[in-house]
Amino acid sequence: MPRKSEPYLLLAPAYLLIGGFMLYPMVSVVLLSLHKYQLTDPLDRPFIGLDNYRAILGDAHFLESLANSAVWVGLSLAAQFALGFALSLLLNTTSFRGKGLYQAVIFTPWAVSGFLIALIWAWMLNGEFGLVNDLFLRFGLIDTKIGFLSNERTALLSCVVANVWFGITFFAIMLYAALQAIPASLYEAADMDGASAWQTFWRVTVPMVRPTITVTVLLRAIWIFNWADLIWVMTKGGPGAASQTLALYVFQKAFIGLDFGYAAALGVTLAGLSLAFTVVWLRIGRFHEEASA
Amino acid sequence: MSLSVLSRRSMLKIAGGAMLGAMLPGCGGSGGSDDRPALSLITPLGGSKDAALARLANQYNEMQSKVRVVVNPVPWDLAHAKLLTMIAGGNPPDLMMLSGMWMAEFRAMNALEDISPWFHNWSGKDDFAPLALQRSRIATAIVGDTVFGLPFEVTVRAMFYQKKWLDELGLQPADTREQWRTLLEKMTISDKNRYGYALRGSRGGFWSWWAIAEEYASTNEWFDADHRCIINSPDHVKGLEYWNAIFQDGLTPPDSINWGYTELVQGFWSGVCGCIEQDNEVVGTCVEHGMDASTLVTAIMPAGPKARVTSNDIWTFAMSSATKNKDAAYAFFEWLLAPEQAISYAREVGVIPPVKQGFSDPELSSGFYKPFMDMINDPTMLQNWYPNYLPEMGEFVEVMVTREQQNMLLKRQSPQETLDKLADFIQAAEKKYVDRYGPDTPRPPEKIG
Amino acid sequence: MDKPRGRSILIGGGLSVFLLWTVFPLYWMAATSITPETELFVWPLRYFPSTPILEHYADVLLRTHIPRYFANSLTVSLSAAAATLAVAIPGGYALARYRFGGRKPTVLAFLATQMTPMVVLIVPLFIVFRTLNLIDTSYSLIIVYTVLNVPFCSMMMQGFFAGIPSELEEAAQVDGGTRLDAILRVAVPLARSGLIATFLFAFIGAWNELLFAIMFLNSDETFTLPVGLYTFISKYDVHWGRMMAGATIALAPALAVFGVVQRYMVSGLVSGAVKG
Repeated sequence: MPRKSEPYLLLAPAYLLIGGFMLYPMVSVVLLSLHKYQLTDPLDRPFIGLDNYRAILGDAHFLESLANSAVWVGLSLAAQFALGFALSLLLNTTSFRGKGLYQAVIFTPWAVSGFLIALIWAWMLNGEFGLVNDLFLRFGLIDTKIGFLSNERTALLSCVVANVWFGITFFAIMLYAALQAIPASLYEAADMDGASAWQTFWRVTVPMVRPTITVTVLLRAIWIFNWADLIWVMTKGGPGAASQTLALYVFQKAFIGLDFGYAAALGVTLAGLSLAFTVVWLRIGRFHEEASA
Repeated sequence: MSLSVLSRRSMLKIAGGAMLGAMLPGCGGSGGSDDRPALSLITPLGGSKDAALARLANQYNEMQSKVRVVVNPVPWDLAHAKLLTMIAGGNPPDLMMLSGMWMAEFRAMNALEDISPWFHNWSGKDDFAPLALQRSRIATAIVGDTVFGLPFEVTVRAMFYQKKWLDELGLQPADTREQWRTLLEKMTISDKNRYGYALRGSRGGFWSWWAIAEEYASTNEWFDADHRCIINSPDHVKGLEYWNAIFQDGLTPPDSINWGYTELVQGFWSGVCGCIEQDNEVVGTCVEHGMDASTLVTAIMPAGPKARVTSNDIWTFAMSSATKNKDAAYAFFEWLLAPEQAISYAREVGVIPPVKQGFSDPELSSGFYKPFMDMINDPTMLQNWYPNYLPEMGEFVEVMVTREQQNMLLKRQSPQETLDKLADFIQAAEKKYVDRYGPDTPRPPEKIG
Repeated sequence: MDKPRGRSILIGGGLSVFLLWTVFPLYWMAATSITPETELFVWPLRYFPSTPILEHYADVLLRTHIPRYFANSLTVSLSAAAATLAVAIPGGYALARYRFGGRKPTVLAFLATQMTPMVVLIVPLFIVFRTLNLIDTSYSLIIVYTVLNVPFCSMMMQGFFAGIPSELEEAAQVDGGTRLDAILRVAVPLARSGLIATFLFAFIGAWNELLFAIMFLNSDETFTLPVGLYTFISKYDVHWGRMMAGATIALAPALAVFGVVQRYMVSGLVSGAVKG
C-alpha cells in the first residue's frame, strides 16, 4: 500500500501554489535585507551583510515599536480569546428561536473591512463628537470629554478595543464550529459517569477543541502582530510614537523613508520573532502529537 | 449515510462556476473596444480633481485618434506608496501627477524621463507664469536646463474664518499675528464647543509652524554659508513657541494633536474651529459642505513680527522614463498645459493655473479666491521655502517632524529641543548631499518670479 | 429548580451584552448612512437623525461605480474562497491524519508565509504578477488571496479533521473503501461545520482586503469594494455619508452568507456511530 507518498500527494496543490508564488518574494526579502537598498540611490546597492540587523539592535525606535507591539498583541489577544471563547460556549449551550438571526448579527464584525472598523471606532472615540464620550458623560462615568486617541496612554488602548471588537468574532466562529463537532456521545458518556459541568468542560470540551485553540490563537497572534492598517487609520502611530507598533514602523521605513533594505531587515526580524513564538507555542500545545491514527 | 450537500463534487462545481464568473466582469484592465494604445495617468488627488481630469481626458480622446488617455485615480492616503510600488515593481504609469515634495525622490530613483529636448522646442513654455517656473525649479522639476516635470497647479495658503463668529464679536480678519492671537482667544468658548483654531498636530503640521518660524526669523534660509542647519536659531524657536502656545493654551481642541489633512478641514467646516490656514482648493470643500458668503470669509495670511510669509507650492506632471508612448505623451502635454485647458481645470477645481493669463483671470480672483490671488501676485511677501532637493524631505516632513512636534505638544520636550533634533537630521542629510554633489546647493528665492 | 433558571438568566444576560456590544458600532454606521452631513457634527449628540435621508445610498448606487466594484469583489472573493477550499481540504486532511517526515517543515513553512509582514512582500509579489502579465486583472487578486489563505485554511481544516475521531474513517476503510472514499464520504461531511467556517473566512478575508487590491489594480473597471470605499477619503475630506452607505452595502453579502450558513452549522453528527 503506497501510504508513504499519500500525504505528499494530498499536499501537492498547496506546495505548488505556495512554492510558486511565495518562494521568490520571501527569498528576495531576505536577500534584500542583506543589502543597502535605498530607493533614491539606485546605483548604490552593495551587499552589506548583517549591517542592517546591527542597525536594528541599536535603533531606539525599533525597541519602542517592539514594546508597543507587545502590548498591542498581548492585550488584544487575551481579551479576544477569552471573550470569543465565552461567546462560543454560550452559543453552544443554548437553543432559542431566532438563534440563526442572532448568530448572523453577532458574527458581522468579521465582515467589516479593517479600515472601516478603524474609521468607525475612531469616530466613536472622537474627543469632540464621540459616542463613547457622550455615553460616559450621560452615565456619569466622566466629568469632561476624553480625547481617547490624542492621549498617549489611551491611544494604543483605543486601537486594542477596536481590534477586540473585530477579533471576538474570529474566535467565536472557530471555536463554535469546533464545539459543534464534538460528538454528543462523549457528553452522554460523561453524563453517565456522573461528571459535573465543570468536569465535563475540562475533561471533554477542552481536549476536543484544543487543536483548534492552539491554531487559532497562534494565527491570530501572528496576524495581529503584522496588522498595520487598523492603527494607521486610527492614529497613524501617534501621538508621538505612543501607538507605533513594529508593523507600522516597517511600513514607514519602506514607503516613507524609502529604505527598502532596512525595511526588509525589519520584516525578517518581525518574522523571526513570530517564528520564535510559534515554536514555543506549538511545543506548549503539544501540537505535533495531536495527529490521530 | 447520505452525503452532505457540500461534497467534493459540489464544491468543484462552485469553484468552476466562480471561475467562469471571474472571466466575465472585471477581467482585464483595458476594457472597451478601443484599440488605440493607452496612455495611463495616475492621479492621487481625489474627488473633483479626478473628475476634472477624466473630463479633459475624454475630450482629448475624442479630439484625436492616435492614443487613448486613461485616468487612473488612486486613494490619496496610499497614492505615494502605490507609485513607489509600481516603479520599484517595474510597471510604472506613463504619466503621473507629483507633488512638489515627491519630485526630488522620483528623480533620484531615475523614474522620470528627461523631457528637456521637447520642452525647449515647445512654444507653450512661454505661457508659464514666472512663479510657476520658479517653484518648479525649487521643487527640482527643472534644474538648470534639464526638465523633468511641468507645473500644472499652483497652490497657496490663506486664512479661512467663520464669518458668523467674527460678526458676533464685531471683528475683522487679523492683519498681524498679534491680532490673530487675540482673535483666537476671543473665538474660543470651549463650553460651546468652539475653538479658535484648527491646529494640524499630526502629518503636515510642519507647513503651519514653519511659516510662523519664518515670520519670526524673517528669512527662509535653512543653512548658513558652511551648510550648517540654522532652523533652531532663537528666532525660529520663538516662532515654534508661538504655535505650541496655541495648543497649550487651549485655543484648539485637544484632539487636534492627532489632526492630519482630513480632520483639520473637517474641524473647520463642522463648526468646531473658527479659523484655519489652507490651500485654495479647500474653498471648494467648504462650499460643498454648505458654507457660503455669510458663513465663510478668506483673508491673506497675517504678518509675523518680522515678515509676512506666503506658502506657494505646485503640483507637477511628469512622464515615466519607461513609457513607450513618448510622442503621444508630449502631444498630450502640449494640449493639457495650454492656457485654455489649464484655466478651465483650475476654475473647475479651485486652484491657480500655472500660466500667465491665469494669474489675472477675473473668475479666479473673485470672491473667496481673491486673497489667494493677491498673495500670489504680491512681490513683497517672503516666500516659504524648504530644501526640496534633499531626498530625505519626505521622511522628514511626514515622520520625523510629526513625531517631534507631537512630543512637544505632549510636553515631553521643549520647542528648542524639538528644533535641535530636526536641525540635526537635516544637517546630516545636507552633508550627505554636499559630499555627493558639491557645495553648490539650490538657494531659497528672495522674491517671487 | 432554581439552578436552570439562574443559569438561563446568566446565559441570556451574556448573550444580550455581546449583542449590544457588537451592534452598537454597526448601528452607528447605519445611522450615519442616513444622516445628512450637516447633522453629523452636533453636540449634544443625536442618536438618530432628525431628517433621515436616502441620498447617500442614491449617490453611492447611482453616481459612483460601487455596484461594479461590488460585482468585482463578489467574483474575486467567491473564486478565491472556492480555490482555497479545494486546496486546503486535502492539505488539512494530510496534516491531520498522517505522521510523516515532511509534516513539521510543512506546518512551519505554512506559518512562515503568514509571518512576514505584507508590506515588505508587496513589491516582490508585484514583480511576480507583473512577470505573469496579471497586474491590473482580477486574476492577480484571486491568486494572491488563495495563496495567502491556503496556509491558514489548511491548518484550520487540520484542526477540524483532528477533532473528529478517526475510527469512523477506519471503519469505512475496513468495509472495503479507499482512503479517498473515506475522506469524501466520512471525514468531509463530519467536518462540515469546519468546512463552512473555513470557506467563510477565506471569502471574508478576500472581500475585505485592501492593500493588494490597491497595489495590484489600476483601472476603475477592476476595482474591488474596499478600494472603492477607500476613495471616499480624499485629500481633505472624508465623505462620511457615502462611506457608511457603501459600508452598509458591503455588509449585505456577508450577512446573507451567514444567514444561509446557519443551517449547516448545526451539529449533524450521527450519535452512536463510534460505539458500534
